[in-house]
Amino acid sequence: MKQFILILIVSLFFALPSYSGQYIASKDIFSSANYHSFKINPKGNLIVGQMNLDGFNSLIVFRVSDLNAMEVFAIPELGNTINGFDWIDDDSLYVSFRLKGDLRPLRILNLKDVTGEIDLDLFDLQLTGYIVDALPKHSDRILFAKSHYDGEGYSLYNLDLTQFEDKSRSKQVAYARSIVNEGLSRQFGDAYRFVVDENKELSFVHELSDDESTFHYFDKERNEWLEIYSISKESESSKSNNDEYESLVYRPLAGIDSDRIAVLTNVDRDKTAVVVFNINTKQFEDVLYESDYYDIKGASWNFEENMLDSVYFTERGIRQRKYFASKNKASHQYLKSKIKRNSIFIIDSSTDKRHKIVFARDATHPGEYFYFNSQTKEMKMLQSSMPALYEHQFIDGQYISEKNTNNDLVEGFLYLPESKSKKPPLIVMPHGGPVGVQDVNDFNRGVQFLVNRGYAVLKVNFRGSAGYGKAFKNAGRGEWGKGIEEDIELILNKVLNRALVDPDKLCIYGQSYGGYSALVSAIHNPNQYQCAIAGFPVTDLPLVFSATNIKQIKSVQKAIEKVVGKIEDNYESLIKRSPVYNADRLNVPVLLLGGIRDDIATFEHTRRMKYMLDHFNKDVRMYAYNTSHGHEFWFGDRHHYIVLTEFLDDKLGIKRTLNDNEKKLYAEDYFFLGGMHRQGLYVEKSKEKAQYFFKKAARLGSLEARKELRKMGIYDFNE
Amino acid sequence: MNKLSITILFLLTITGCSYQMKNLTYGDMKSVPKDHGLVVIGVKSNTYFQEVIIAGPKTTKIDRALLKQADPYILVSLPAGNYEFSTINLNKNFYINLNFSESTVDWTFDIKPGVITYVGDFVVTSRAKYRYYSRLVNNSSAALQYLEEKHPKILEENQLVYAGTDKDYFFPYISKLKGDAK
Repeated sequence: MKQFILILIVSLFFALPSYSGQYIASKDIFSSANYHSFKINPKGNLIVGQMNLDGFNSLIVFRVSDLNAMEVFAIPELGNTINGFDWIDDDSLYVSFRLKGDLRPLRILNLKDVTGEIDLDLFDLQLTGYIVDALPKHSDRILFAKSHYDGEGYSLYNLDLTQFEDKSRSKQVAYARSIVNEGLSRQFGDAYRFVVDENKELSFVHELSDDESTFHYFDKERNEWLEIYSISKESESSKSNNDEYESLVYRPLAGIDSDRIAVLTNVDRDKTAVVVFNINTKQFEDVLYESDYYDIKGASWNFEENMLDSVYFTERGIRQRKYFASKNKASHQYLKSKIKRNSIFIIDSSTDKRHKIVFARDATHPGEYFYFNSQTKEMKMLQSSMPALYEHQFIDGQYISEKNTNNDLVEGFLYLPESKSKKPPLIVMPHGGPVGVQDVNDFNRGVQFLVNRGYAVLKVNFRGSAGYGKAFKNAGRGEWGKGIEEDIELILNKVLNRALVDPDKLCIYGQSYGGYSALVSAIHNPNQYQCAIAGFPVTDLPLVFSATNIKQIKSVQKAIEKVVGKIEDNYESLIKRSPVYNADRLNVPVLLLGGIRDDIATFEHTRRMKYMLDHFNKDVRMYAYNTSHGHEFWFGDRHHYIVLTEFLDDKLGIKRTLNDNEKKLYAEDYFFLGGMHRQGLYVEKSKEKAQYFFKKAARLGSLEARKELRKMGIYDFNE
Repeated sequence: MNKLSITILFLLTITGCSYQMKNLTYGDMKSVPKDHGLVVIGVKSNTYFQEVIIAGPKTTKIDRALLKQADPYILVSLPAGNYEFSTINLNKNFYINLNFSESTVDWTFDIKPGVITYVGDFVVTSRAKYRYYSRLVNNSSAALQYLEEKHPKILEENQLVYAGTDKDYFFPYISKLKGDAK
C-alpha cells in the first residue's frame, strides 16, 4: 500500500454528521467506536491509533507537534479485523490482521521522514505466532512467540527484523527454520504465555495443557529455569472448596528479589489480590494490595522503583486504576483534576515517561483520548472514540447497595433520565451469566438508549456476579429463580422506597440468564411488573442439559451443573423453576427475542416459551434473528432496541409528543425495520411485518415508506 | 465449543442400505407394520452433502430425494430397535465418520413400536473448507408444530416421545396438558 491520505483530524471531526435533538439516533449509538487503541512511540513524537470509519479499518499516525494525522494502513471493515499493532521503534510499526477470518502475516510498516508528508515502506513477516513485546528501545527487534509447526505451543525468539526485510517468503521460512534452536524458551513444549522483565528479557513462562497450568521463573543468579507453581484440574477437583480450575488466577508480575516474586492471584484466598510468593517455600507471603470487597483484575510492576506500579479494579461500579509509583501517581492525580470523568487511564508512555496517552471514560461518555506531557502539563485531545455522540448528554448511574440474606453486599446502579415532571417508568435489567459476569457503571449503549427514550434503568450485581471474590461468585451457583432473584428484588425495593420512579410502570428485561430472570421474576411477582422482555433467554432448565447431543457429553454436563445445579437431584425443582412450565402463571405482556443459530441458549428455549404462551392465549410477541447468542451486527442491535422501546411504550402506556426532528428520527428507524423484514435481512422475511413498520414510518411522514407501501399496493397507511 | 474432528478418506462411500425410508402421510398408516415405530427427523445444513447413513437393525439413509420431501421435517417409519447416525457421505469420494474412536458424542437413538419418536434435528455446518460441525439439536416444539400442522390425525392417535433423553419434560408436559383438557 503506497497511498497515504493526509487527514486534518480537526476538520474531519467537525465534518461528521451529528444530531442535536432530544433523542439520539439509533444508528449513531448502535455503532462501533470510530477511534481507539492509541499508542505513542518511544521518542514521544508520533502516536498511532485505530480508526473505523466509512467502511474501513485503518491505522492513523498523528504527529504530536501539530496533530496532523495520516492513514498508514487500511482494510475493508466487513469480515476483516485488525487484531493488534504497536510501535517497534520510533519509526516502525507492526500490524496483525485477519482478512475474511484468516490470520495474515504480520505487516511491518517503516515510516520514512515523519517531518513532512509521511512516506512508507512495508514488508510482511512470514511467521505464525504473536508479538510478546515490540522492544521499542531496540531498533528493528521484536520478541516473537512463534507457533510450533504442529500448532501446539510456542517458542520465543528475539528477532532481528532486518534479517527478514529483503527476503522472499520462502527464504523467510527457511531462515526461521534455521534459527529454530535459538528459541529462548525451546525447553517448554506447552509454552502459552511469556512475561518479560525490565530489560525485556524472558522472566516467566506459563505452560498450559488441557488439565494443567505450570509456571517457570528464570533465576538469574543460578542461571536456570525453576518450576515455581503448578495447578492441575485433578488436584483442584479433589478439594472441597468448589473452586473451578478454570477460574483460578495465578499471574506472575515480576521478580522482587532472588526468592520472591509478585503475583496477581486468588489461589488460597477469596478475592484476587497482589501477593508476594516465595519461590523456594512455594508459599504466599505478604499481600501487596487487596480490597475488602473487590477482586483486583490487573496490576503492573514498576521495575525502576521495584515496586507495585498500579492495580486495576472495579469499585462501586467504576473501573479504575490506582497508581503507587511516584511518576504515574502524580500524573494521574493531575489528570483527575483536569478531566472530569470517573475512569482515567494512562494507557501508554514514551520511554522517558514524559509523553503519555490518556484514555478517559465513564457512563456519561464512550471515551476520549488525550496526549499529555507530564513535564509541561500540556494536554491535547486526540479524538473522541465516537464523535457522533460527542454533543449528547448521557446519564451517570447512582450507586445503590444493600446486604442480602447471606450478609453479602449487593450493588446496583440506577440510571434516571433527566428530570421531567413525571416519575419515569423503570426497566429492571438483570445481567446474563449468571455466574462470573459483572455489570459496571460504564458507558452502555443499551442502557443509555433506554434512558434517552425516557426510561429509568436498574442494573444489579446479584450473587454469582464476578468481581466480588470467589464466595460471592459461588453463591450464585444453582440459584436460578431463587437467591439471585431475591437479590434483584432487594435492590429494586430499595429503589422503589426512594420514590424516584413510577411504581406502576415497571418492566423487567434481560438477555441470556437475564431473559430467564425477567420471565421468572414476572411469574413470581405478578403484581410488580407490567411486562417482561427476554432476549436470547433460557426458559426451560432441563432443556439446558438436553439442547443438543453435544450438551450431553459428560464434561459439558458437569460444566452446566456447576452453574444450573445437578439435574439428577433437582429435576423436579428445575421444572418448577422453568418459565415454560409456568407460562399459565405469566400474566403480563411478553416480548421474546431469540437467535436461530444460538448454541448457548438454543432457539428452542424461545420457541417453547412462545408456544406455551400462545397455548394459554397470553399476550406475546416474538422476533427471531439470524444470529447466535447475541447480535453479530449493529443493525441487529438497532432492530432489537427499536422493537423493545416500541413494546415498552405500548405496554407501559407511554404517549410521546414528537417534534419534527424526532418524528423524522422515529420514521427513519421504522423504515429501516420495514426494509429488514421486506428483504428478510437478518430477521424473518415477512410482508406483514414489513408493512407494519413501513406504515408506522409513513404515518410519521416518511416519503420513502409511503413509496414502498404504494409499491405493495397499499394506499391507506393506517393500522 | 465442540469441534468434531472428522475423518475424511479417499474412499468410495459405503453402499448397500437395506431399508428405504419414505415420507409418510395419514393414508400410509395402515401399511406401517406393527413392529415399526414412527420417526420424525429434521435435517439442516449450510453445505451440500449426499446422504446421512443411519445404522441399526435395518441400516438406512436420509438421501437427497428424501430431503426434498422435508417440510421441514420428515415423518418415516423404522423397525423398532437401537439406531445411530454413523456417516455423512459428503459426495462420492468423501465421508465423515461420526463415531470415530475418540468421539464422546452420542449419536444413538431408540425406536419403539406404536409411538412417534422425535429423534432431533440433524445439523451439519461447514465453517471452513474440510471443517464440519455436526450435532443433533432438540427442537421438540418445532417438531410438535410440524405434526400439529401437517399430521394432526397421526399426532392425535400416537404418543410423541423425544429420543434424546428422558430428562426433557416438554412432550410429557404437553401430553399432560392434553390429558387435563380431555
